[in-house]
Order: sequence, then structure tokens, then C-alpha cells
Amino acid sequence: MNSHDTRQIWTRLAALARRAPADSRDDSAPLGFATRVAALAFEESERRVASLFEMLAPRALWIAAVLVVASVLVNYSSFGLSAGAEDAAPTVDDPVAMLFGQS
Amino acid sequence: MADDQSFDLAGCLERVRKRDQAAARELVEHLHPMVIRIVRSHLPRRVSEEDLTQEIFLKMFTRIEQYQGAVPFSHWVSRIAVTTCIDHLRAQKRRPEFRWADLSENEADMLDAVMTNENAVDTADALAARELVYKLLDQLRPDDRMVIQLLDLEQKTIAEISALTGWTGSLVKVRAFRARRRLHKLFQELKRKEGS
Repeated sequence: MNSHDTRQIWTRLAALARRAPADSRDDSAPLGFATRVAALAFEESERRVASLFEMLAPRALWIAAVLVVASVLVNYSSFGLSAGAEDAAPTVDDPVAMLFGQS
Repeated sequence: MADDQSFDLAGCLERVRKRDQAAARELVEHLHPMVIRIVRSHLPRRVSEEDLTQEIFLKMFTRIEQYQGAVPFSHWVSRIAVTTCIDHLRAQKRRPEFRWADLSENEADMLDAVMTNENAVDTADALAARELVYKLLDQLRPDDRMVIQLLDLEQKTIAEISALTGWTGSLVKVRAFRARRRLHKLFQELKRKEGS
């Protein structure tokens, strides 16, 4: 049996198979199928958005914490200076006493 | 589905994009006959047709924002259906070796008749032929099976198969060639086993 023979056998078999009666089963959607699929589809997309938020939220928290620490470190010297400067500032004249003293 | 001219597909898609669940239901009901026909033609063993159909529709809704209207919507959905069927066919294990003893009496008679070039065929023979064809197709690699089924049973052109599967014309031809070579070997084995 050569390949030409088998090709002919397959061709005949396929031609016969095509003559089989068409599938007579109902092809409309079963009861409730469309409702279920539509609900699942929208639920799925909402879940995707929620899961994206869940995925990004811890990272955002870490980034925020790092930024806080970094900003404190960068500005630490200026915090110290300004605190010291306030302590060292001389007491100026009492504006209330000056006001009443003048009157 | 296709003959339902009154269905406002563009309007329905617009509403689905605005997350209108009633529109999504209408779309599923409208497309179901087309999708179920594809599923029934390419249904892998031990997979429920309803589960597979549902998976196809869920993929369709997931990707609906990507649909640009370059091809008719039904073609776009057909492609999703065909590629999902191929994925399932790939996932299933291939059947064990095909033996003459696996054939029913009708199928064995049919194969005998086809091999000896007998022409008398009635409806029962055609049904047996279809069963036999599907048993033979089960022996092929999923991609090759899909191509030969679309070519020889559904009589689609290479261009149509390319559009349905996303494979190039050359790839479709290569897969058809490989499928025919495998069928040749199968027939040879069957002939040998029948004789022994």
C-alpha cells in the first residue's frame, strides 16, 4: 500500500464522513447559561481590578515608608539646627509690656 | 446566528463595554450556536462541551476591549473558539496505539469497504465512517488534527484555516502534509494488523 493508495482511502473516508447527517442537537444556549457566563465575566473583570490593587498596595506602602525615612535623613541636620536656633534665640522685648508702657 | 439580521451587534458590543450585563447575556445567546458548533467539531475527550463553551465566552469578554473591528466579530470569536479547542487538545494525552480490535463491527466493515474501494454507502455507513474518521484523527498531533479536520471534513481553504488559527499558509500546509503522512502510517499498520 503506497501513499497514493492511503491518500485515496482517506479521501473516500472523509467524503463518506461528510455525508453523515448533520448534528441535530439543539445549538441554542441552555437555560441560564448566558446569565451565568455574563455574571462570571463581569465578576472576573472586577476581581482583576481588585487583585491589581491588592498587588500594588503593599509595594506602595513600602515605597512610602522608604520615602519618609529618606526625607527624615536628608533633612535631619536642618531639623537639629532650627531646634537649636530656637533655643538660642534671645528673649525679645515683651510686646504687651511695651504697649502698656507706652500708653 | 449569522442569519439573525435584526441583532444590533455594534450596539450590543457598545453596551457590553459599558458593563451592561443584559447586553452580555444577549451577546452570549446570539453567538452560542456558532461557538457550540465549533466546540462539538473539535471537542477533546473527557471535556464537557458546556465547560469549554463557557471558557470561550469568558475569554471573549476578557479580550473584548482588544477587538478593533478589523474582522467581523463572529470571525474574531471563531478564532478564540478554535484556539481554545487546540489548547485543550494539546493538553489531553494522545490515545494509545490504534488497533483493529478497537473498531466496532460497523467501523471495521466500513474500513474494509473503503480499503477495497466498495462504493455502496448508506446513512449508517456514513455515521460509521464519521466515527472511524474521528478515531483516526485522535491519533494525530492536535495541531495536525485541527488542520486536516478543517481541510478535509469542513472543506475550508488554506486562507480560511490561517484566519481561524492564526497560522501562516505555509505552516498549515506543513501540518496537513505531516497529518497525511501519519494517516498513511496508520492505514499501513491497520492493513498489516488486519492481515495478521
